[in-house]
Amino acid sequence: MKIIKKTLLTLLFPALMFAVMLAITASSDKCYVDGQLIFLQADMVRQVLVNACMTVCVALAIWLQLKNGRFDFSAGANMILSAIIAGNVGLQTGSPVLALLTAVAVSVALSCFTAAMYIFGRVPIIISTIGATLLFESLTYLVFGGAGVRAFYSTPGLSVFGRLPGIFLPTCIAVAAFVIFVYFTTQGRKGKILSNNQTAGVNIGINEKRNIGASYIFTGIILGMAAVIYVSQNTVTPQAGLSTSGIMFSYIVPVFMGMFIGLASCDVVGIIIAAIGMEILNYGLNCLNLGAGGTQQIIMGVFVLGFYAFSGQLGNIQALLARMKNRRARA
Amino acid sequence: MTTKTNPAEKRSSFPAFLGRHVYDIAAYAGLAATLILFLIFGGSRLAYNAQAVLQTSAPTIIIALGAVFVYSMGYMDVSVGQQVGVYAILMIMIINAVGGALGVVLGFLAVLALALLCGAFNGAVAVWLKLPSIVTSLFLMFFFTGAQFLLMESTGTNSISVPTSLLRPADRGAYNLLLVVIIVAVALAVTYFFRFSKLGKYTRGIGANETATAQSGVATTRWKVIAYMAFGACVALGTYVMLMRTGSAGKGTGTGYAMDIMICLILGGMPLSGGMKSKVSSALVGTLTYVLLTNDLTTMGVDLNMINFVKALIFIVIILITCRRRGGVLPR
Amino acid sequence: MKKLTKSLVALMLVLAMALGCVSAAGAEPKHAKIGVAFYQDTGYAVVATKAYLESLSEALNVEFVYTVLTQTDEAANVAAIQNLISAGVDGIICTMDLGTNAIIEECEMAGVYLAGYLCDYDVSYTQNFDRVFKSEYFLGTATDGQNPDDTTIGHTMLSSLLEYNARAEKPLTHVSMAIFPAWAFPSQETGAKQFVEDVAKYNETNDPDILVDELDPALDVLMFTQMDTTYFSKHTGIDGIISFAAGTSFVYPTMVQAGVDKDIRLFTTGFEGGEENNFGTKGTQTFQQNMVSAVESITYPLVLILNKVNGVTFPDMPETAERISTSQFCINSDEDLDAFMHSIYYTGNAADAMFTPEQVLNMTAFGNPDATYAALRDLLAHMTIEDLAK
Repeated sequence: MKIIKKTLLTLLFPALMFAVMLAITASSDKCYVDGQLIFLQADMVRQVLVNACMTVCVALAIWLQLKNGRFDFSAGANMILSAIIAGNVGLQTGSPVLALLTAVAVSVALSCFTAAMYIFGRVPIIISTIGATLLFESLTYLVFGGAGVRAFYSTPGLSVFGRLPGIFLPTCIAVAAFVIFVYFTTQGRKGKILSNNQTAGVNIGINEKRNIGASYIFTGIILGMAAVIYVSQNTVTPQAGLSTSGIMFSYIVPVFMGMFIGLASCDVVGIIIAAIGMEILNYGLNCLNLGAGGTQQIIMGVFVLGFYAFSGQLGNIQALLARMKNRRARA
Repeated sequence: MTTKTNPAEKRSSFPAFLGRHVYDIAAYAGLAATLILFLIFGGSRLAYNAQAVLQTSAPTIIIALGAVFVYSMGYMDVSVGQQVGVYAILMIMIINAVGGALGVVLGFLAVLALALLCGAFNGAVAVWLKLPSIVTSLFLMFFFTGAQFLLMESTGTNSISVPTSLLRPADRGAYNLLLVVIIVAVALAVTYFFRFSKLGKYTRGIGANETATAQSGVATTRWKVIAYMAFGACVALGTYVMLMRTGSAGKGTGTGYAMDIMICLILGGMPLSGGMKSKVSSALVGTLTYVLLTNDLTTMGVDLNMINFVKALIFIVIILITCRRRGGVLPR
Repeated sequence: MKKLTKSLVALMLVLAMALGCVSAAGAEPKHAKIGVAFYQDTGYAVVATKAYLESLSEALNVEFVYTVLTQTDEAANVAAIQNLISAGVDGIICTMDLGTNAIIEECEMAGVYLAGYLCDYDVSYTQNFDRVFKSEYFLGTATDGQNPDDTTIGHTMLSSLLEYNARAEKPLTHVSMAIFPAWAFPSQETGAKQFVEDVAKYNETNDPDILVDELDPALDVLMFTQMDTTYFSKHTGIDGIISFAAGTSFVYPTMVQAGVDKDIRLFTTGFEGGEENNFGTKGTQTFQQNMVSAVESITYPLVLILNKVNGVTFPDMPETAERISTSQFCINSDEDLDAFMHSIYYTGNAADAMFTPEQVLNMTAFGNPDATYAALRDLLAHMTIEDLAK
């Protein structure tokens, strides 16, 4: 019974989102072609799954560090640089598997560099990750002549990890890496203590440096998966001026939402569900021709605030409902 | 009876002074180094180059000075760039609609009112709704991005403009002097409020330990709102100073200001966790270092692809010197 | 008498020396430093343009300094231009019309000349003509293709479509369009209307008809983000897309994502690299047209600036700066692609440029007293794929 309740609560968000967008799109002429509602076409399922996979990978990478009390700015830059290197290796060798392995290797190396700068530099984490971001972004102009990578996504044999069903492989690896670290490693389990009270955690004997090292290695694996999906779907060009931090800010929304949704189950399920729900919202807005431009940004902002306001007040709402129930019982 | 200073104490006080102020010294050393390079590579257009640096850095300095209040509380605002963009567009629209000096005054007042409102929103709503402060900041970022887009769409053009003669003196020398006067005035005002008033005391207290500050009887919500509103006022003024230079705005105006402000404050030695070590000088020192560095690398003829790499390396070296925390747990 | 003779001889010597100096000045151009402000920092166009310019340095005695502008922030662009002026440039070739009023003011103050490249300066042309185009320091611009009041891209698109239909086993009979917002690229909306009118005229006398989906402002106008996959759900049955917007970045990735890149043909503008694998009869055969401006069109602003630096001018130089349409490489066949892939734009090798340094020197007023502005302007009309193939 409890399991059923938790499952229903977990699925509530995407189900609600689907129902709301279905109602809105069904009432708009723009969403019909030859009498058929485009929101209910196979393309919706395909796009939601493909986009959600990318979102899940990046969101897990961000959450893994946030969970351990660290705000990492460098995730976006790490992903972009790994994508450029992996994409070019893939083009030169003609092997998508080599591209994937390269993405993981590069991403883990970059993550380890970030960790080393934090551990040995003893610089506050936000500042050291900003430094890492600037460095990784600058390297995108220096590798492969600053040309980025362009033809990888359009070569069907290479971009298998950006399309269905191949996209599920890197996504599953990313989820597995997250679950293994958080639930099956000592460092992962101790991370929560460090997040809640760093000094107490260190004082009771938790080796914080080992925790950082291990967490960044797993973050690197997850970001490597994100990188291979990203390069399989997009042209990747060099970036500068902390523009990759925009990637982090756009994927942080499912992270925060996933934390709340995951209360009914666990955080990784919450993030996956949040990603699916957000992509349903995006697809619905695209059907309404509101997928790009000013209106979409405003809708997204209002939605984020509304969601957080609701989740922040949940305790008060529950208390109010309990008081009303008591009053009725007394009456 | 006279008290003689112990020579041993005198010898140890200078190294102790150095040890206590190594971060400040490193920040100022960074500024000095970029200034020396600037003077060396300025060449025959040194005077022109100097005024270019002044005009480039002025808006950022003013906004960074206001950001000191917010960052000293351990918070940040990622919506600054988008706010600057919308304020610039609104100011131009009002000036073009009303015309003349009256349009300029009305435009600035309207934008100032909006900036103060956004500041109050940032400071109050997060507390009332029990949200992380980044959430209200993200909301404003999304909202203003959309607003900027829609405003520019409504104009039907890529860029709108207003004659700069309406916004500043025509004489270049007078314009530069005005910029200096504005920067000095804002710096003095911010320094006064930050160092000698309750606002600075309480914002640093909130950054150091919000719970202890609240339990000391400080109305932390009220002072957060005031701090964000002070920041908003600086954003409005910074936008006006930026417009004085270009006279135009578009759908991307202001992009990147949030990150630039963060980098400038870090370079100036501002702790991002806020607290008692926050200082106003970080805004001035950091911004000038950042702007001079970009200028130096261009005038030195450093290859375009290498400029970002060099800047990144210099940033890392500076933060390793200025932001390093010895002993204890790893800093967060 | 002796005194008079001596004076006359002295005068003749002075005149001879002066003539010698003038002719010597014509043979050795004055050293110039030119800033080039690109609109992007990487890509084929940037590499090729730098290679071309560097190949001209020795013959023209010019040194180049490069910077990048942003497509969105006026203040950043003004700062970039100020940095170039601080670097001691005599002239700037600028690829963007953003913050131009402030930029012109800086140039006037510093005595630096400004000329445009790959930009129609439409905002300045329509809103600030007197301030910009009548400024003594603004010398003119070479547009990326046609000016908004001189658009022919709609005709070109239909022409490419018909050429494809003539050789294809399955001609295209149902197409849709994509453009950027008119406020940013007015010529694209004009081109789209032109295309629709041309198709209507074509359908009057030809079979089968070509159906063009009406331009939907909400769906077909790309807000500088990638096309969404719902585009293909809403434009059902299309077998071609006429993308006036830069299709490689904004349309093609979505076609690949939606899995329609093998079924739908793309006629577009801009070349970014990678298209050649799926162009014409190669690969998925998605791309059937690309259009780019030759990098050699930078010769127009370069020559105008160098003339000013050397203190000379064309005898037929107009009083007010002009914006000149540039003919483009219209690549719509395997042969065209082959010719394009041997051009400097693709190879990045200065030896593949359409002009040698000596030819460019000959276009300047100081390198060739018979050079004219009309000849320089006509140059821009002869940078087509046919000219490249010759």
